[in-house]
Amino acid sequence: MRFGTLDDLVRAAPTGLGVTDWETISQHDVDAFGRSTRALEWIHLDGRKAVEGPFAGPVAHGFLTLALATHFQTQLLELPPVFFGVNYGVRSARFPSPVPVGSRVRATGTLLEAEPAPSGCRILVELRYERAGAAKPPCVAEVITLVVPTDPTPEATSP
Amino acid sequence: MTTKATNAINGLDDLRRRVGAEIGVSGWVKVDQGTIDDFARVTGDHQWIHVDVERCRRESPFGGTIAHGYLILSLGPTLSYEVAQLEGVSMGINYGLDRLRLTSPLRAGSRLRLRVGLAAADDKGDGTVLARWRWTFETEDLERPVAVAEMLSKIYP
Repeated sequence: MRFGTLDDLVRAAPTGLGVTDWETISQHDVDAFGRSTRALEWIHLDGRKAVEGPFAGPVAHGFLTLALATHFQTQLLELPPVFFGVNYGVRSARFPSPVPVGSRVRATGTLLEAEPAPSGCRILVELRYERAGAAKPPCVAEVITLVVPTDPTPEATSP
Repeated sequence: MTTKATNAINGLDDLRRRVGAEIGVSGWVKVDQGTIDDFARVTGDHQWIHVDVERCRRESPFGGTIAHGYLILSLGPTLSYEVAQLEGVSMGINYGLDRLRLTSPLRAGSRLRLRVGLAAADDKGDGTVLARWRWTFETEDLERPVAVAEMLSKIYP
């Protein structure tokens, strides 16, 4: 969904944002994520050993699934021109089911809240993930983003 | 990783006894631009404030590139194993988190460490225990934390 102005964004909440494209989470992605975050457990990286593990194969890191939130939110919500989003935090995130390596995931977004904040606004977006072929979502997260001007004017930044 | 686990938590009874206590603090880990670039590739988040060194030098309010908030968070599990390992249980899984706040930017090249406390350990009624850990990410040149979160792990006896 596209928002032309900050007011449009604030007035629109709460509203559905639609659904993202599917993303395949490959072993290559999981390996790269493990290297960059030093999370090298066999349950994620060692396919041979993981076959004997609780999920009968390697699974993605929960935080890899969560970290796709930024990419997904960018697909679902186009901020007004001259504004950009800064990740402020996560109100809650749960991982109700695993993401086996090779799965496809996507997310349905809902803009839950949009409140004016100094020089911009603060938005709360729910992302409800879905895994192709699975009934339970692999992740449900409520993500907080600060929407701030790309080129702050002196007026906009004064307290 | 610079240090070994300073603490072992011996089973669920020991875990319950430590509710309300600080468990410990990890060694330092450096978060460099290469790590940030790798994280951008795998998560699809190529926003310029993380990866465009030249533009950040000119335009970023933070004075340089900064780590993704989710990269900081994702370093948490490994740093927490370094602080304390839970022994005498079959496994713990990442159940989720509450109240993650990215309170200060982490500049590329900075060092990061994790302080761990235990806020709660609640019996779920099915034999498992839900532990609520207090995570505080700190960097060297800043008094206030870079990030805080309540991390939830589900522990199978």
